[in-house]
Amino acid sequence: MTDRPPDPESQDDARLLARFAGGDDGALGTLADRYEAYLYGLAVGMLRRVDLAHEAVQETWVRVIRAAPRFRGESAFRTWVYRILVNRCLDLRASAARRAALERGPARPAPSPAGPPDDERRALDAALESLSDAQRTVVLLCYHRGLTHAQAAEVLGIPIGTLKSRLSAALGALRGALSGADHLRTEPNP
Amino acid sequence: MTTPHLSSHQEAALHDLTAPRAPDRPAWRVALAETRRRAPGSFLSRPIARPWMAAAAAVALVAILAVSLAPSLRSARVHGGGERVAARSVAPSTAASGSEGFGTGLGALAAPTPDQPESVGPRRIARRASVDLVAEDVGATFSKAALLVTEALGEFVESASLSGPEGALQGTLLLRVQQQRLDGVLARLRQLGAVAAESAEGIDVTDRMIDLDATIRNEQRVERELLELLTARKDADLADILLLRKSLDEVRLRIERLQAQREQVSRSVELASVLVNIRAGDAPDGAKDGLGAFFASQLGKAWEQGARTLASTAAAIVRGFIGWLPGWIVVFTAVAILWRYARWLTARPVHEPTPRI
Repeated sequence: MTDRPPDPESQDDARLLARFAGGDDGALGTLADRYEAYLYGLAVGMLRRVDLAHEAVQETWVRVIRAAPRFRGESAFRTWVYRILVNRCLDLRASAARRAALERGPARPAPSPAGPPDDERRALDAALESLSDAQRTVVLLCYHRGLTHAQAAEVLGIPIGTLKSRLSAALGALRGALSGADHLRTEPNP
Repeated sequence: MTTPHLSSHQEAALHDLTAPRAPDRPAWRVALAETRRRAPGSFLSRPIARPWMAAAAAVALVAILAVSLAPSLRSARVHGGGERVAARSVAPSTAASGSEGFGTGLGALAAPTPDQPESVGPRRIARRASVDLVAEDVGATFSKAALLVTEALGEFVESASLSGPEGALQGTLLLRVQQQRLDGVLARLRQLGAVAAESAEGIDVTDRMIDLDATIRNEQRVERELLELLTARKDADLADILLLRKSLDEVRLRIERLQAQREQVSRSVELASVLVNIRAGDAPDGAKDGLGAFFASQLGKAWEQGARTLASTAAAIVRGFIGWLPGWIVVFTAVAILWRYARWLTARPVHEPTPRI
């Protein structure tokens, strides 16, 4: 929770959710127009599979729909819905990894859903896969266009300073993973 | 301290990894359909976050309760000022079965009705009852019935007659008993023999008393005016004075008659009338046929009475349900809204745990 007054967008989201809880399905459609593409994009980035990403987003909406009548705006809708999505993605990723380990042995990185990747993209995918869940999530949230760093910190429930230090560490690890291919360079911090 | 930076290509690739993109089919629509298919949710189970709706429901409930419980605004004068009579009679078989049903019925007759106008105070009900008894010993029963009045309370036997040959003796009593004691007296009468018939009525004499009071007041005003005229016109002609005196006498006569009527009506309210007819006949079941037959007879009567009570209860429920259907709909809707609002008020707030990473 923050002491800041709720921003207008957040109040509008809460109003839309209340309207949906009152029986207006169109209000949920409006919320989906605002968020679904961003949520789906983040889910694809986190899961690297469109089917799992769709499942994650769908489960997120299911949870939103069920909890809508009890939503009282203690936190911003955006923070809440992203937090649900990140949790679902982490759960699905873990269960997919377990299933893959049982079926084929060690999990292999899934192909990029955005078509055949070039070498640089493939190396980045591999480097991301080598990161821990925590590091990968921080990197993806911070590079996601739907969230500011402050909002990403709220989603993860950590102070923004902690987020930045975790991002720095994650980028360092990413750079290390990419160093073999000489795709990373270090620049002085301004 | 140095911060690791990625190349612009790499940063662009990272941005692209999570770039917004529309799914093939809207996930929210699938989620909505899926949620409703799995748990449609009843009208009552879904919380409702509309305080104004809850307030309106509460107001509707209070209004319904007020309309149901508060006295009706209909005044007695709507009934045209005539005497209202509430009567109830019972079949011999039912009447003979005990004192409960009929006594309760009389009590209900005597109770003030909810549509009393507040200005006239409590309703004045004159109660009358009649009981036909069949007794083995008419003379003894006649005497016992006559002893039911308590003179100390102002009660009395208004008329009594015993006639007929030996073996076909018939007795008639008109008892005047305190209204409060009527149910008790009837219960005692029922114990004196088999009840062949029983009836009761309650006559609402409130309007009559009000009319009599108003007429008396009016006549008294006329009397005062005539007296004033007589005093003021001491020097008038003898013929005029005599005419005035004659008018005054007529007015006074009317006042006395009206006051007598008023007194009679008042006494009819104070003392209930019980007409008791006693005739010879078989003794009550228990005395004639022994305990077994008496038990069987009582069991049969109890069965019949129980069935009647059950039927009347069912009828009352159906009557109440259908007659009050619009009211029930409003009550149900209001309660449902309040219930759903209470569920919203008491619901656990949504909480999504922070990602465990």
